[in-house]
Amino acid sequence: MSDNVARVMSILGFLEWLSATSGSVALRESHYFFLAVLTVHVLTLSVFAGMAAIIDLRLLGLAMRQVPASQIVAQLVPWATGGFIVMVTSGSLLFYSAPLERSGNLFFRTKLVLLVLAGLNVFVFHKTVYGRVADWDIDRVPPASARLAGGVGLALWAGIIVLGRMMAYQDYWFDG
Amino acid sequence: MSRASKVVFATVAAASLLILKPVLAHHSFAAAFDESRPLNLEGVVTKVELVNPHSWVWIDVTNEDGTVTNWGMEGGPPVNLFRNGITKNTLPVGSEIRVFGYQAKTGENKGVGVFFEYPDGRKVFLGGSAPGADGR
Repeated sequence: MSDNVARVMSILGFLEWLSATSGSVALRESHYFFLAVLTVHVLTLSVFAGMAAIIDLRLLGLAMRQVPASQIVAQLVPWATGGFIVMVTSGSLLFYSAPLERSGNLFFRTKLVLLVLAGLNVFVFHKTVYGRVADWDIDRVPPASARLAGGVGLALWAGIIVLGRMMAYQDYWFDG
Repeated sequence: MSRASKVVFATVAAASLLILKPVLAHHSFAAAFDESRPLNLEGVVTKVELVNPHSWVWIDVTNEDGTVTNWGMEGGPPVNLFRNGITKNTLPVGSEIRVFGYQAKTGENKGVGVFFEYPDGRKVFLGGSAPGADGR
């Protein structure tokens, strides 16, 4: 057995074990808890994505242009972070309820890739152009690299949300 | 775009939304299942998965030529089936059951159930996305 095959087998083995744990079984067989988690996931997603969209639109120079960019970021990031934490927690529970189905879902896999890219986008933005925010804070239209970060962020999150919704239709797009 | 064409565009957009609404009401049914392929199957329950977001009941159906086909029937979430009286105890593996529903668009041996009928004639609605599965 090659190292790669062994590695995949062990991931699969872990997911099989995870899916047989009592918490995972209880979650997928629950009457209300699963539905509550699903609802919380969508609600907190809208809090996070709503805040992120306003920040991105400011970076694009399309919204709240008279407010300094750093003020928008300072006021909205705490809400975005709170939404993000509950969104990721509820999302992890949804994964935990059916680890094998979720990990085999092509929409989910693509969504994870876009999530990593969205994280990188934020990281690069903060390490580069946002470090010099004092230079362009009150510009109605921020510099090109800030606009790029805003546009990329908007596009990635639109994609992530659509992919999340599409996860339910995997079986009807690909052989289930 | 001129003001007049904007008005026309907005009117058409609003009108098409109104027309789309009844179609969207059954979106998850129409995305996956085919209303023109109704199913009426009788068989023996082989597996009961009362899981979110949709339950699945698997049934061995003996065909006319004597072969056996395992069919998967989708129902609503566990809480819907529970309210209608379906639990692992009331629908054990080995139960004889008749199921009415619609086949998957893919043509696989899968479908969405409208209701089960027990051998004594009792009917239980499956509370899923199929038209009529809510019993109304």
